[in-house]
Amino acid sequence: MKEVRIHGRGGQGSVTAAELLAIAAFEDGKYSQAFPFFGVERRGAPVTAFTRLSDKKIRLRSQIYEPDYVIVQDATLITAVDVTAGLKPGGIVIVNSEKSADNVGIDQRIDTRTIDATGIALEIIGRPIVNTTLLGAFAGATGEISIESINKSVLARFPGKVGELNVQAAEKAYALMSAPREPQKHVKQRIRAKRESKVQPEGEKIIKGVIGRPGTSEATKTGDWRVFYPEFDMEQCIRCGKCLENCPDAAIREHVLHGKKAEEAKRRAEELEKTGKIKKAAAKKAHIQYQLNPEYCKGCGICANECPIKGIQMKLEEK
Amino acid sequence: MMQIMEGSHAVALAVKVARPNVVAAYPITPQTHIVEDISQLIADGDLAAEYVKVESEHSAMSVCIGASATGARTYTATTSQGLALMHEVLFNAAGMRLPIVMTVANRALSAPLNIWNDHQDSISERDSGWIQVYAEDNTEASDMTVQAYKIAEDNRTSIPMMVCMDGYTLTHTYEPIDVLEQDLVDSFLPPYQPIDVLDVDDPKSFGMFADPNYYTEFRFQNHKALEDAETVMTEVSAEFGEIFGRDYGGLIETYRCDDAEYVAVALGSVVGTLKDTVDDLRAQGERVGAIKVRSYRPFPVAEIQSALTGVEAVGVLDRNVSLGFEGALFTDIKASLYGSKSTPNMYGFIAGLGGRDVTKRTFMKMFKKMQTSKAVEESEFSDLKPELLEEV
Amino acid sequence: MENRGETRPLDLFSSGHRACAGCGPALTIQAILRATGAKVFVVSATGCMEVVSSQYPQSAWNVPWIHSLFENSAAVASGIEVALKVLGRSDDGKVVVIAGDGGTVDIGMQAISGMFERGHDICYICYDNEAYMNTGNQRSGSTPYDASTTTSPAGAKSFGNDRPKKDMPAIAAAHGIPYVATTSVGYPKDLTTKVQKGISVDGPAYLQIHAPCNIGWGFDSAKTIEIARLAVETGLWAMYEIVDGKLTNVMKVSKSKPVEEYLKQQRRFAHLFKMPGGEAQIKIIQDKASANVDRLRVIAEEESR
Repeated sequence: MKEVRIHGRGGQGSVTAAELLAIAAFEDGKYSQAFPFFGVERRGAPVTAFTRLSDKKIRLRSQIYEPDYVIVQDATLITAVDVTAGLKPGGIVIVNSEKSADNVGIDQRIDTRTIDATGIALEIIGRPIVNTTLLGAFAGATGEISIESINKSVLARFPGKVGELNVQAAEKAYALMSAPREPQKHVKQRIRAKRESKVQPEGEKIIKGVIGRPGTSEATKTGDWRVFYPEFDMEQCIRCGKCLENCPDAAIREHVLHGKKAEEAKRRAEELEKTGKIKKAAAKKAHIQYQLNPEYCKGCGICANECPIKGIQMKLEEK
Repeated sequence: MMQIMEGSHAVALAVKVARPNVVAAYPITPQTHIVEDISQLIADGDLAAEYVKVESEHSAMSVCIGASATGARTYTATTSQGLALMHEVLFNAAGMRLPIVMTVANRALSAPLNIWNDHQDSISERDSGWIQVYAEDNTEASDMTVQAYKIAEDNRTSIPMMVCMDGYTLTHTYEPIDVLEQDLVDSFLPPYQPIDVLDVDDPKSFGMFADPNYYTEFRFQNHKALEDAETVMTEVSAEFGEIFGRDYGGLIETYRCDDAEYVAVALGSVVGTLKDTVDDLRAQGERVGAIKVRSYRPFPVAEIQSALTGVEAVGVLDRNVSLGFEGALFTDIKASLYGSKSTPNMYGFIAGLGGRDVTKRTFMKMFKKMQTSKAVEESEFSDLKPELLEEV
Repeated sequence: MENRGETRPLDLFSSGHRACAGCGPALTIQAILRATGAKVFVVSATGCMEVVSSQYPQSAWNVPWIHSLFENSAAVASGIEVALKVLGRSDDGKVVVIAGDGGTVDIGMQAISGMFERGHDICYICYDNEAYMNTGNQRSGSTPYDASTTTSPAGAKSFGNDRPKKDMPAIAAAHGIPYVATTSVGYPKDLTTKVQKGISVDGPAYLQIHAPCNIGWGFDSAKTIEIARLAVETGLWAMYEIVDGKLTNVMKVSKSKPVEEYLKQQRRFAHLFKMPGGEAQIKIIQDKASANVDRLRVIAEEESR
């Protein structure tokens, strides 16, 4: 039996990936099992899904603690979750990242394969939906499953044009991953990762009656959910406050500059206004600065959409 | 001070001296006299509480949750379908550890619709996390109402508590009551002073959800508090005894059990009838005894073990039935005696459902079976009318 | 939590909550609490906003907050209000319920009716995202006509939800409560004014705030506000007040936009643009919107006379 653990974020299709993998294995004539860890996760929050593949009927129902393979759909999870927890000796980790395996933040002794699934998906599907691309990568990297079966399961789930584009993306990833590659320098086949997971309860004692303290959600840094981030043009900004008002995550802050800094900002703005580069409304409030709190911004883009001067651009987050 | 009055009125007076801040209730037979009397006490200015005339029992318990979390002492009463409608709210109140006190005027559950007494309603809420006590008479129902606040509000427990009293058999029965005096109750029961309340100056979050990382620990904590309530209940009973002269002792009461060979066990108002039956049989030289289970949750396993070790046979009367198995109390008594040195023969008797009268004859029959049966363990519907049943 | 020297007031609904990116209801709660300030007791019904804000041990709330069950928030709030009164703490703050449309117009209806009828001094706010989003976009009584949800899916024999939205504000008003209002997360000033009126009125108040859900409705997360405004501009969501039983302060939609502009941006209505017979359905929706606009325009004109 082979066990696969998929780490993703809500909305990235981790559960679908696990299911498609199981369906593909079934197509290959295997027994398979796919299930999610059901949380209350919202878009962007870390989620886990599992797939088992076997030549025999699978009876085991517990979650997977010692996977043979790990798929990481979003490299930012590597710092948030212990993605390699319990990985079997000789196990393989497949990470969606443009970086090389040695630079992705995983123990260099672990056999890690990286693939720019986001790039492939954006190029072929036109949206950063990476789950099907990564399934192709899985087939290529592990040989556990045929790409034909992967394609079949993808097409069954997403009929028509969408399915075909997903298949193209999966095949591209398959080709890249099954191609001969340079072995990693430090990989040791015998390493056994700790089974300990980072997502364990915090050390403090529980309060009877299920009572919590105010504002403690700030410990959850939702900033790593985002794919895009807003970039503010503070020179053009007329300080209307629409972006602040419309941020569901209270991630945009207003700072008022005082003293020398304020004077400096005013002076610069007046110069720009004279040359006609910015509007008077912007110049008048130059001492007010809007700042993004990257710890919490989920990258929804409402601020950019609502900005009346289109002074906020959504930029792809580098991961 | 002894006064003769209806059981419901006795409970209303006990509620009054406990000084609740908020009462929320929905009328249902046979609980109505209690809430009517409380309404009148408030209308007359004798009880300074707010009575929320809710639109359902579900909301009655929900109002109590909101009020209790705000720091108010709360009271409600219900029965039967009303209690069943509260079901999910009961678990919620217990999990939130809010010391709400409720009278349950025990009544059968539908279908068929039946307004008369049995214990199916409260027994069905066994696992809700509430303390459940069953009163034998109206003085005990009154006394336990006041004790309930002290038990529930104790920091070692912080658990809601229901005082069960048999519908009609107690609620609608006139008998002399030792009415609790306000000044004595005030010295016994201090005002409610919770640690955590909803407060704008110290804004806590109540009723958060717990994922698998935490849920078990909250459940365990709740379970432990119920177990620990045994100690609190015994202490409170002793303190009550010192002030009012009535100490109900532990969580069970044994009656003429010292040298008994055959012991009957029951809950609620039938225990009086049982005690009389024991006296009758004792007069005939039979070595019989009785156990009143005062607290059904927490269940007094150790007390039951020590009371029943060495007897020949035990008979358990259940005014409820876990359909497809047996009476609920019977199961628990058997479980309590598992592994004791000499396990007695055990007989379950389901009787008194939906108001069918439980008489001395019912208990005579029980003792007879205990004395003569060859079976080691057996359960039966003991007051069934086979002539009404079609042959299958 | 400390206010790190920014000029903006302390957030009463903290960052780090787990709502989806671009969440309309989360934005609604930010706006509600900005309008109320810190002196409120908030009761939440089970639902998206409860779940994203209260995973033990982390709470997003900086006001006293309680969640009990799904359908009982109006009753829990009643208990708080009564307790504050009897304990002499009524001046501590107003009791505010924040519940979704399912917890309000469906399962919570009985408790709400009781709360209104008993006259509790509570401001009940429904954030209306038009389906059971917490459980994955199932149809509620507040789901609009022809919306495809997971339990009212479009299909060969279905255009989606075949019933109009339940008129909860009218039901609230029928209780004779002093203040009923509808508003939208797309109109923050209007929302603020109405929340402040709702909490300052003596007695029960009911507010229904249209709050788009980008996941359930199927639109880009950046467009939450845009979609909210389109609902009003097309006449599909009307904004008004009912003060002491009288319909008033109707927001005028001078030149209403065709409903297609609203519908075509959302996946839940996508079938109407593909299926045979879809056009006729859009016409039905347009007629409803136009009738709505006309009716409210008349009232608005009468008022301004």
